[in-house]
Amino acid sequence: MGTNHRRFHWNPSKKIPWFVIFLIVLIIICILSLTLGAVTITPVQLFEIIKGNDKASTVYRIFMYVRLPRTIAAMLAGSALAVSGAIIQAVLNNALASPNIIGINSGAGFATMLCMVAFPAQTWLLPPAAFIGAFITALAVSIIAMKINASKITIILTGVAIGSILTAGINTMKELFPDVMVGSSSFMMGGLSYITDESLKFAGAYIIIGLIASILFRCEMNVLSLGEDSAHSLGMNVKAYRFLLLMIAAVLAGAAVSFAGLLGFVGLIVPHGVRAFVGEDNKIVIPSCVLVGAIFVTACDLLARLAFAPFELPVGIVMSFLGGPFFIWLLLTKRRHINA
Amino acid sequence: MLTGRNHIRRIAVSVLCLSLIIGLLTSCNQMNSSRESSSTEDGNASVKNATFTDAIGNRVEVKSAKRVIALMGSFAEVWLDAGGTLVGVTGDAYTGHKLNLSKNIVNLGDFTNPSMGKIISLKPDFIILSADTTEHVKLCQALRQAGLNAACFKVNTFSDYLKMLQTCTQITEKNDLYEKNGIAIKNQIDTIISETTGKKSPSVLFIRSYSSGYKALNSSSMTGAMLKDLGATNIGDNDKNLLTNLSMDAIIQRDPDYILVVVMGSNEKKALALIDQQLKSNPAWAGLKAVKNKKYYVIPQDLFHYKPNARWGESYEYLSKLLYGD
Amino acid sequence: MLKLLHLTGGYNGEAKVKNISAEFKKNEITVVVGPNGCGKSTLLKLIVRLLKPMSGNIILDDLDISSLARKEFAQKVSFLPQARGIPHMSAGSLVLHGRYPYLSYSRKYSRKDYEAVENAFMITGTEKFRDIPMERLSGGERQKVYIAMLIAQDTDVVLLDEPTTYLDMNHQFELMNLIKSLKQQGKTVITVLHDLSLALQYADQVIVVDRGELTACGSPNDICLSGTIDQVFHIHTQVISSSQYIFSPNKKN
Repeated sequence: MGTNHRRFHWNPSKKIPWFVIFLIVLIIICILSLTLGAVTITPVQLFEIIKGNDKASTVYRIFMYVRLPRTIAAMLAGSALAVSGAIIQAVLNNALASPNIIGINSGAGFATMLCMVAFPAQTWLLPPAAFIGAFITALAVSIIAMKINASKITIILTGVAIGSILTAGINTMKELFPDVMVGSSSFMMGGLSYITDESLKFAGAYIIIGLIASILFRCEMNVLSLGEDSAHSLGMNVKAYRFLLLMIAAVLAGAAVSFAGLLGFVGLIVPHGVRAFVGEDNKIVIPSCVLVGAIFVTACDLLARLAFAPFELPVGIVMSFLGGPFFIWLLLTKRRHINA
Repeated sequence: MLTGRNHIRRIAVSVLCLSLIIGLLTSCNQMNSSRESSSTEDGNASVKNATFTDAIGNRVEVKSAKRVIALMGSFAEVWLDAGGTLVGVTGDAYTGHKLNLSKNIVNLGDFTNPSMGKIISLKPDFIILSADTTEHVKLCQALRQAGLNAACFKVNTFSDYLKMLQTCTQITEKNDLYEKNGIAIKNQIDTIISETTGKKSPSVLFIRSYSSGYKALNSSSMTGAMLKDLGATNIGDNDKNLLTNLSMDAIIQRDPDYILVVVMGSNEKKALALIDQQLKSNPAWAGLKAVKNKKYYVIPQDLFHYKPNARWGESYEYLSKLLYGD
Repeated sequence: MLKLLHLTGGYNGEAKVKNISAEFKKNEITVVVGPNGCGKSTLLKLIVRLLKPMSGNIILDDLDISSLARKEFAQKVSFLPQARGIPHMSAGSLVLHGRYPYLSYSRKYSRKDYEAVENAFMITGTEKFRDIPMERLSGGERQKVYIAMLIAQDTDVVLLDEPTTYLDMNHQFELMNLIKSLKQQGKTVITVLHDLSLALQYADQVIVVDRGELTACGSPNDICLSGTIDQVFHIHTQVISSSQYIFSPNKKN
């Protein structure tokens, strides 16, 4: 039985221990993110902090209330958005799909804007609002898709349509209430500033749950890639699983958007980048996306903070500058079939 | 496992409701805990003990204010007017406000996104932020969570300024400055306003202009409030259309007695260029009452865009002269 | 045995399959033929539960198939659809997916699963493709791998929708021989074929569908001799022997 099992690990890239590599890179980036910034925390100081000495010092404060929440937020947002994108691409069997494209991000954005206009001072309402917005949008897209018995392409088109309506809504509100929208640009571009433990708790819990759920359903995602009819004939409830997986993707994206703003791109390019190196098997792609997504956003955030310290660039801009060229490089060198 | 569509929908709805409930409960907790007064730094056994509720509902207790950071230029001015000292400001304190800032004061960058780490590294004991900027509100709560004494203020009208000045002078214990920069100005303004009673109310169109557009503002704006106090009628007040879409037709329809323009941003030429292009070049412009009577004015930024603070009296005086001539 | 009783079904309230009754036996290949748009694919979709019938029943071994749970049904009936994209996985992974109906909640493949896959490889002669990505295989090789997946699924009933389309002639024969071996293992095979000569050559039973209705049902010879083929396809069939037919245009044209 031992030999049989070895023969059945059909992953061409199995020779390279990708998971270990990603994990090591993540740990390194994590440490860098915790120590570097407008104020550098030396390894010695870091050690002292971990040991628990000197809780009132400035360095401790910066570490506990600025660096740590921010680093955790970056990792959570990165993992959530990357996995969300991977799920949507698997479910819709389309490499161009992402939370952005099927309108989930716009839904979260619109709900947040509505909240800012209706309850200006209640910033604590923003995370649940974003979350609900993402969820409702995904629900709407799924229900419309089910009602009209949609093919994958139709689902994407529905998402695009709904997404553009919501984006128009966001822009309209910007026109109507420009004063309320001061500071909304950081949300629109994505930003990880001033994250508190409080704002992370709720969203973080949902992200962890979503990530676990997505790992549980990797097999289903693989079967879905065979095509609806084949998946159905293998005994899978295609409609139900598509809906469920889209909901998980929505929960992940919505939770991330609620504290990180509209970080586009992650959901699109990280899964692609991951697949170019580890292959198409979702059993490996999903966990890899968890790690690589975290690496990508944390690294970009670090750069955003360091580039012109103490002035901070918005994370979204750094991600576009880094992610865009990398994506083009991927397309040119890896020459994979992109199943659009 | 999962069977019918209805079954799925039921699950989805119940999950949604559950998460909504959990979400709101958690967030309520968040909100309540953030309203508790936070402890300040190791107190310097000081006499100061000003307590107030800030603009976003925090109960703030200031035991010490020797190392103060103001994250908005106009609030830095108010704090200085109240006799306080600063260790850190944002970039906008150097433009638009004629503050005398010593070289030791740290420039924390753009006021919309100052570095929290840098702020903490300055070891402040009191931090002033704006309740009008979403990022500031977030930052304020984050700073309070970190055990620092941060407060958000909101100033739109003179009475807001007066209140803020009062709070600040209570902290600095310089009541004389409250008299000088606050009460005296109030008296000045009250006099100016009383002189306008009985005069015929002029109609005014108030426009804020910037390089990519211009917008009519009503009495809820800073300058709009002043105009209202002075007895002018703002044509934007009952006309939502005018506010969202300032067109030549709308202006012709209302034909105001006065047209006042204030420029936002540092490039005055560029900001006014659009008005030149879209309004002034229109043939109907010359036929407007305000234009014929030479009552189209571009009013100064430092009095009517940036908060005039201690010069608020000057602003009222300026407008009064314009509207009623003296 | 699979039985269709007065089966009617279609899309959007419009019946594409009208009142079809038929029987499909074990150890037999039934080929469904008919002009384009006659409802052949719809018929398969109804049997495999991709469509809900508007009226009528489908009985499998004395059980109405609508009473079976999904996984249970998938262990009894397998289906190879017509048009598919090329999945991005190795041939081995694809065949392994054939065991999905048998997976427990842990989603871990058991020894039995791996054995079924090895068996499928053997029967189809596709072991050497195990680690090769599907996109690198030729059309004919891919179809064989798909058949291997169906074999791994280990069902009594196998449905195929135009499995030989776009294949070179020699590959078509190879595939049909493979399908023949399926029936020889005791399975009930139902396939839609576009190519009449192939259909008549390999079928034990032929069903002719025209405009949603069952026009004829019987052995290939009977079907030809009865003139149904000529009628439905507007051609002229010449029966040379029990497995040799010549088709020519209708004399009237």
